[in-house]
Formats: sequence, structure tokens, C-alpha cells
Amino acid sequence: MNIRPQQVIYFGAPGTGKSYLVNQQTKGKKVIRATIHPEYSYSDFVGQLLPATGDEGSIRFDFVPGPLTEALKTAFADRSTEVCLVLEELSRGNVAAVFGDTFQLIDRGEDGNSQYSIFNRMIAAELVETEESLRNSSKHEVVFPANLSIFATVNVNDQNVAPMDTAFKRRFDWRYVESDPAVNDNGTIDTQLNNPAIVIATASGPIKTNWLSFYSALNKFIVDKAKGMGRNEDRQVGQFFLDFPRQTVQDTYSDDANTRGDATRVINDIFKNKLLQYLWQDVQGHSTGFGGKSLFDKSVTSFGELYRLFDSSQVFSDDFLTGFLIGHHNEYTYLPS
Amino acid sequence: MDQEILKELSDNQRTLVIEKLNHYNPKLKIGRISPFPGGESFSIAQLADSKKRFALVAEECGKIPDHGSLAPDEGVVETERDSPTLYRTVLYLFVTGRETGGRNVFVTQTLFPGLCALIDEMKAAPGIAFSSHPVYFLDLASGRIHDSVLRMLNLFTAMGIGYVSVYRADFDPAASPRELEALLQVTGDRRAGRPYYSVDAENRMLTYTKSEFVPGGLLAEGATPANWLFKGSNDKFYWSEVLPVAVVAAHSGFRVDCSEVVSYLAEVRAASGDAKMSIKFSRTVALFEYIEKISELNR
Repeated sequence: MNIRPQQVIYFGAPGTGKSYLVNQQTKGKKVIRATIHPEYSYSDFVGQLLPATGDEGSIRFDFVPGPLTEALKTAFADRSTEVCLVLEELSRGNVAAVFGDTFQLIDRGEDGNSQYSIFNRMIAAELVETEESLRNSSKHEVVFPANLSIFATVNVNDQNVAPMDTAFKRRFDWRYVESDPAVNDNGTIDTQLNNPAIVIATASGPIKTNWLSFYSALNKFIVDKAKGMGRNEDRQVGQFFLDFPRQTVQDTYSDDANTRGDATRVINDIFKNKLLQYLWQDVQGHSTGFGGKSLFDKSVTSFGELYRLFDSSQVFSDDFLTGFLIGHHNEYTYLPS
Repeated sequence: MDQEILKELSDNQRTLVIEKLNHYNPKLKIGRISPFPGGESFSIAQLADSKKRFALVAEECGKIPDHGSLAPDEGVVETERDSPTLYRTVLYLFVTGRETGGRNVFVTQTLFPGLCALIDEMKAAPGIAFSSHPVYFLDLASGRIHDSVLRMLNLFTAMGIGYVSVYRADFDPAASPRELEALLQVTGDRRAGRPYYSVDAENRMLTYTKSEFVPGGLLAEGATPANWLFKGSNDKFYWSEVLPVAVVAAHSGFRVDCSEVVSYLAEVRAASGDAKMSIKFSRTVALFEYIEKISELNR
């Protein structure tokens, strides 16, 4: 029996499917969604007074609810239905400032409602009277009801605008989303899912690999302290860091050379335009200054060179290619159904 | 509102009802009273099986969607002025008769069995709220409130049911106790000799007992598992005694143990073979499924 609400933060490297997991968790429930960003404020989240035109052109100020107040209204409007407030990219905002006084409400009691109420006239005015408010002396008290759950996603490698304090963190369940390839219902790795063929240029000729094998080798190289870069897991990438069109994925394995060639060019462009910059700026950065191995070949001295040479020349280091990719480049071979 | 209730009210009285409800909760902004539109609208009223005493406040939610069926708390209303419009329930009302009637049945017969139906809808819901929407008790009677009625009003307002009286001012729900021990001090006299539950204040424990489920006690003489019947109106009195204390206990930080009654009800069902159980048995089961949910707290 599900008495208590869920307050869960999914965290992990970018592209690991955190938002997908949240969607799975909230499927069939009423969802109110907000995407947090550095400029996101309390008034965006809770609501704000905005000018409106009244009768005969007079100006009045109306309270316009934000996603939190909308979620509360929806939850109180029907206590039999679970309402989910989904906060994407939570780590990109200043959560203490965004939640403000409503931070107090995250603490849930045994009955699933907030353990402590807050006095907030604006929010209370938006809610129907509840059995809880009948028990309270003030009509302006607000609590989170048990049918309001909160799900959030956090990219652990985001450069936060403000740190997330421990008091906030401990009020949520944190679930780590691993960067391993997704598995089917039967527990085996789905080698068809977002797994196109990829061609990587090396000094001894091109290597045909696939996305799952490539990013798995890359992730091992990023964290390996002895033979790799020795960086933290938060620099790794997930299977869905790059989102490839399904038909194009299939076409990279086509028997028709033209179809295969066209699809491979599309895939390589996605790879080049979306992954290389992340690897250059956020993964490579200045890591070699601390003794770790370099991901890129010594000949690559700027991002411009990396971008220009990727299709035709070896841009990845021998440490990565021979130590991690070659030999594992078909670890997750695409198996046609 | 049901036609039966509406017939009891003159135009002035209807206006007064609206005024009192809007005064109690200004957010409601009730504009008019209408009969239930019939058809599939507000099927919760049929579920509640107490249409004569059941009403609801609904708000306009725009045009009817082209697809899907109405939820039990939704209805389609068509007036001479407007095209068919979707309305969604904001709160439920249990409406008394104009007379105090049989005193202690005044409250129980108004609330039950409708309240059992509302609770049954909440079995799978998160939390321990007893209804999907707030519930108000609308008192249309006049004259002094009898002590036995006051006792019942204390019990039900303590569990979170709103009280709105149109003509009387001698019960102030804000002054009724909200903690279990204080509530039982107010309501305890009638409980003496009716051991439906025991309260262990020291260990903060409320325990339900089955000892009164015997022929001649709560049950009719000659009742068997296959012919399980409450005696007279004992069902409503029993539900009125056991339900509010469970809710108040939970909010007062007491643990609730209803395992003895839950096991008893399961044994009755098993021993009855294929016999069709009475609706009152089903409602008692539904009520204890809810109390069992409460008992999950603090485990």
C-alpha cells in the first residue's frame, strides 16, 4: 500500500536516461513539470503578482500560480489521485532560493503530509479548504498533501550556480542512474537501442565500431586512474547523451552501400557536433595537468583542429584507442531482430 | 442536490444555504443550487447510495471533452442559457433533514452509508485522507442541539468534516477537541459498555476488538457467517464510533491496531462459503480496509 509520497532525485552522468526514468515513474499520473535554470526564482516556482486589466480599464494585480502552486491545487482538488511535480535540471538552479519558505514542507510526516505547515497567504488562497486546514487554527497555513510526489533530475557534472545544501538533499531519496547500456525486460542489453555503427579514424585506417561499444570504452578510459584519465564518474556519458534517429541507426547497418554511407555521415555529424565539444571542454579540460592520460592525440591542439580532423585523421590518443577501444570495439554488436 | 432535499427548501432557504456555505468558506463562491443532472453525471451520488442526503459543490471546467467517460465526481450540466458544460466536484455535502428527528441518528443517518462509499474510493490513494474532496455536514435543522447529537458532531468534526449550520449556533466546530485523549474525554460516556476499541494512552495505542460482533451484541439474534446481519441500525452507530477515532488517533500520533477485527471479517467471509454477503458487511470491510491503511502508519 502506497501511503507515503515519493520524493526522489535521479542523478547521474548526462544522457543516462534520468528524465526517461522519471517519465516511467510518473506515467498515468497527473504531472506538472518545470525546468530549472540559473535565473529560475521563487516567484517563477510558487507564483507572482502580475498586472491585469480590470473592469473599465482599471489595473489590478492578480496572483498567477507557478508550477508548485498548480501542483498543490491539483493535488488538493482530488486527493485520490497522485500528482507529480517534476523538476528537470534541478542542479542548474539555486534550490534554496527557488523553494524559499516551501522548503519546510518537504519534510513529510508519517501520514505523508508535510510534518510542518507554513503560513503563506498567497498559496493558501489558491487551495480549497481541506481537512487539514479545518484542523489548523489559521486558514493561511499550507502543507504538502500525501498525494503530491516530487521527482527531480540532477546532472552531477553541472557547474551549479549555488551548492545544494545538505538539509535539502537529505529530504530526498537519491537514486543513481548508471551509465551502462539499457537492458530489455529479459535483462539482456538491447543492442538495437540507440546503437548506430560509427567509424573512427586511426593512423592505421578506420575502425568500424558502434555507439554502445565506443561510449563504454570511453567511460572506462575517463575513470581509469592507472591507464586512463583518472577523472570522476560525473564526467562520463550515458547511452542517450547522443540521441540518434531510429531509422538512421538501422541504415548504418544496411546492405546497400549508398544507404549505409548516407546514414554513417549523418551519425558522424551528430557525433562530431554534439559529443566532441563536451569531450574537449568538460572531459579533457586541464586533466592531464594532474598526471592523467589525454583522450586526444598530441597533434590536436585546439577544438577547431579536432573538429576539422575528426572525419579523416586520428584525433583520439593511442592510450585510448589501443588501451580501451580496440579489442572492445564490437563488444555490443548490433544484432538485427 | 437531490430533488428530495430541494423540495424541502423554499427559495429563501436556498438563498440562506448558499450564504451560509459561502460565509463558511468564501473560496467556494457558490452561485446556485441545482438538482443532480441525471444520466452518468456525478455517479458518486449513486455510489454513495444516500442521494437523499447527498449533495456536492461543483465548479465549471469548460466544454465537455470529445473522448472518454465521466469520472464519478464529474458531471455534465445543461442550462437554458448554456450549452452542455463539464463540472467537476469541489466538495461533498451531507445534508440533514429539517427536523432533529431521532436525535442520535440525526448525524449517523445523514453521513452513512455515503461516507463508506467515499472512503472506499480512497483505498488505493496515497496518504490517509478519507475522501477525494473535502466533506461538509450541512445542518438544516433548527432548535437546540441535543447532547447526543453534539457528541456525534464532535467526533466527525474532529476527523476533519466541516460543519455548517443554517439556523443554529450552539455548536462551534473550532472548539471541538482535535487530539484523541481530549476527544474521548468529551465523547467517552457513551463508549462505556461498548468495547469496540481500547486506548492505551501510555503506549499511545488504539486497538480495535471484535468482542461485540456477537448475536445480541452488534449482530442480529441468530446471525451466522452466511447470514451476517447487524441488529437494527447498529451498523451506522458502530461505524460512527470506530471511524472518527481512527483518523484522530492517526493525527494524534497513536498507533492503530485493527488486526483482530480485520481477521474476524476475513474469517466470517471464509466461513460463509459462497453466501452473498450483505451490503453492510461489505461496507464494514471497506471501512476497515481504510482503518488498516491508517494502521500502516508508525509501523
